[in-house]
Amino acid sequence: MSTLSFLVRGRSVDLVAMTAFNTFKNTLGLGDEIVGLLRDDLFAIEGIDESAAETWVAACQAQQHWFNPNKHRYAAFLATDGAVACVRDDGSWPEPWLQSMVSSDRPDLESADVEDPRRAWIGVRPTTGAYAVPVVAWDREEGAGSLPGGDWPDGSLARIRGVVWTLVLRADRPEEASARAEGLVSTRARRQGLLVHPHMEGWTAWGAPLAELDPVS
Amino acid sequence: MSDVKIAVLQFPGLNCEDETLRVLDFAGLTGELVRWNEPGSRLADFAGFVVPGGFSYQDRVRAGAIASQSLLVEALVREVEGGKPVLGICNGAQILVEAGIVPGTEPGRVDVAMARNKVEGRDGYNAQWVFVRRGETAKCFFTEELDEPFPVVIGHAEGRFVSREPGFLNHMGNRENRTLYYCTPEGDEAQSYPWNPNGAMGALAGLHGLDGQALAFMPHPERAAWLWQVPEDIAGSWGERRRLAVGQPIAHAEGPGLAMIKAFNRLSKVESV
Repeated sequence: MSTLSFLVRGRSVDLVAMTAFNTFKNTLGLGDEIVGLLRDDLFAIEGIDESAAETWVAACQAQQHWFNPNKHRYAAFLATDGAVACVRDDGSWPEPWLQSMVSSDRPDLESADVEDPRRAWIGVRPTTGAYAVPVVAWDREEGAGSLPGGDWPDGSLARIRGVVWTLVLRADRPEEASARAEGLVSTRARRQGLLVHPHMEGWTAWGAPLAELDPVS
Repeated sequence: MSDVKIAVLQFPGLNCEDETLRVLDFAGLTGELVRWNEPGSRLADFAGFVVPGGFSYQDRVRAGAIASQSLLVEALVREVEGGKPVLGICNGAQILVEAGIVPGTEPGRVDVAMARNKVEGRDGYNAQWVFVRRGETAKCFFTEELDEPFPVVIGHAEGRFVSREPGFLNHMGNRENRTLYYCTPEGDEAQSYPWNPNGAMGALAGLHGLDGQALAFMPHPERAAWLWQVPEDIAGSWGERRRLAVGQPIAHAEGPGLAMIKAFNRLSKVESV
């Protein structure tokens, strides 16, 4: 079975991400340590048959519950390694399962010379010595089964809604960037962490940080 | 006019600062606006503080999250930890919670969140009159002289107190420990919508912090400070007072929300709480 994931981002400047970035950089004193901060909505459907992926994509495109083509761009990825449920009570989340892109309204992601569409999707400027650390957050009460309704091919499948924050941090090693991101995400105390409130949201690192950033198209 | 000076803190996106200043004046206090980009040292000139309602920074990330990180809130923390009282109204309440001032059981630790409203059959922004009363054993500077369930207005989308902190949840299990909770007009704890308008745990409407000098209150007392603001058809004794006043000159008659604001007047008798 497979998991189909949609990443959705506004076409215009993301003022929420920009404000959070400026707060990290200026108010919380990270300065040049933080290079970028991006935010995507995540909608995932798990447990589908790989052969049904295109049907699902077509249904999502037709219903536009998750994105409005006038306001958003999206990319849909398929993981075929038997990815299991994403959000569980213990907060477990599988390794990154954005294995192959099956659909997007960004032609630049579909060109043959884009080796890693996910990195291309993030689309930060080329930077030396910085790593992109994606984390995924979700509402603890809503969790799975919270996607907007509709006439889906199979209404019984698990659906997951979350937000992917991608922190781009200067670091010597990816592990260092990952550890630093961990301290910045969750609001545990005043002026410590910003993006996720642990009393109402869960979050986890979304796999290993992406390799040192390369130029992207 | 009292010589007690109260600062009304302003952040971009707040929209209740003017009516907060007016109600301070009505309560006999001297209110003054302090903007987010002014030096925090200015706060030393004031005896107490109000963080008013609105949508600071457009509620980006979460309601109150960005303002709570500001240098002005850092300065506010220093003043409040020194004993000066602060009242956070609606978005101001969210800022105090995000800053760990409320409940403030450990310095700076954030133990509570203000989640999106969640009641049966409706969600999102909700504006309505509610009834509120105080817990008998909760010691808070702003609630000491509140003696009956009183009507007041709410208007918010993220006002539901939630927590995963076991000690806090245990403490809140006793209704009398809750600083202010939603109730019926008769004073019984609100069990469901519409008396509990947002699904808050323990029907919490307000929560105090530190040694009682900080209060995060989701309803708007400044919108119920004059009797003419109270609807004529509301239940309870305040509704009765309002109906009796129909046709009378009531421009200066006090409403149910004023008592909370007038608490600041006690500062003229003591230096700090």
